[in-house]
Amino acid sequence: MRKTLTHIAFALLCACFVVACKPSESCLVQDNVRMKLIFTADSISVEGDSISLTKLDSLTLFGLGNDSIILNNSKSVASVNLPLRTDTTVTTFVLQYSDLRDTFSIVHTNREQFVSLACGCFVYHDIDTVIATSNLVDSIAIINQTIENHVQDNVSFHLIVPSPIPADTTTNPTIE
Amino acid sequence: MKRCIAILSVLSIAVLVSAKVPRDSIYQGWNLKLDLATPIMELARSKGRIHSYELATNVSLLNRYYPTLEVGFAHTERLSAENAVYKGDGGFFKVGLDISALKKAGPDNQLYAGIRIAYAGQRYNLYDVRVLDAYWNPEQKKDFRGLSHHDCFGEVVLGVQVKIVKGFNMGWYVRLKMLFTKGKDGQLLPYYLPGFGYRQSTNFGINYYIGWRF
Repeated sequence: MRKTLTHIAFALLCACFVVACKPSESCLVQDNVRMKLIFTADSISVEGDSISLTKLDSLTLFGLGNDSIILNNSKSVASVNLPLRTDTTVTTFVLQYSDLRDTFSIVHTNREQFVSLACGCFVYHDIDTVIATSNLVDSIAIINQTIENHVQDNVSFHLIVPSPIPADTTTNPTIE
Repeated sequence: MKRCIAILSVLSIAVLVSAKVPRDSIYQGWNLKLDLATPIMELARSKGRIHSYELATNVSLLNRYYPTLEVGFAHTERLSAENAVYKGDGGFFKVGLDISALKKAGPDNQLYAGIRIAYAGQRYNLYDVRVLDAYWNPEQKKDFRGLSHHDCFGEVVLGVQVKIVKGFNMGWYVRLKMLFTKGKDGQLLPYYLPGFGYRQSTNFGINYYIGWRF
């Protein structure tokens, strides 16, 4: 019995030395929670011809009440990752193309995701409703309500934009 | 209040069973042990932010088998580099069995090996936790109050007990602890578990007891 206990004691002490190290706390995480908004558009010429677009030029986008511009007259835009507010449940952005401007709001719920005391927490979102003025925005589709990264498509906007014709176009007049 | 009731219950049982026991009966008395190492070690290690106290009692059966109950509580505080504050209060209990290798050495001198199953629960608050929101509100901080969490863990223990004077003994335990419960990702979990230590899959601990044999 004593011999057995001696062996157990030795094994236990060895195990204790192995597990005694306390991991150091560091914070290497980045906030990558974004609502991915994808664009499709029809460009209407003066003659009334419609051209379907997969990318948009000259697009400007910023958060309402925020000086920081997310898209600044950007070219070949097919999608954009938008940060939603973590301190309230309505986030509003302004979308501008040429002289036309739309305001759109996302109504969402927030879910805190704790990382650590040093890093703090992310906030995930669940989209409830998307509403927009209709100068550019023709239709809105919510593809995926849950926002937990910046990879998955969440919302799609179909825009009606005036000519001139942007860089990347297709000649198929059919709009889906 | 609950802690007081628990301690009073243990002392009441002590009074009831402290009558003289025949040498050949199964029941051979009981021990009450106060842990001195944990409060000092945790206070020193945490620079005064963790207060942890433990009390153990066991019953001697045939001077070989020792069903054991251990109780304790802990108050923890922590300040992160980002000035976020954690404050938690909780308690634990452990039940288990020790087997002594020194049956013939008398009831006061023992070499134990044993196991424990333990439950720890606590309530905690977090203050000034940073919310990652670089675009809208980079300086945002938030409080999380009234959180609670329960954990289950197991232990393998080795211990020694030696007689100092009649009825008074001292000894130590070495413990290898394994946490059985896991939180969900993104959950605000307490970083310190009463009776277990810092939250990680395995831990180890040392107790240094002074004890009374009844």
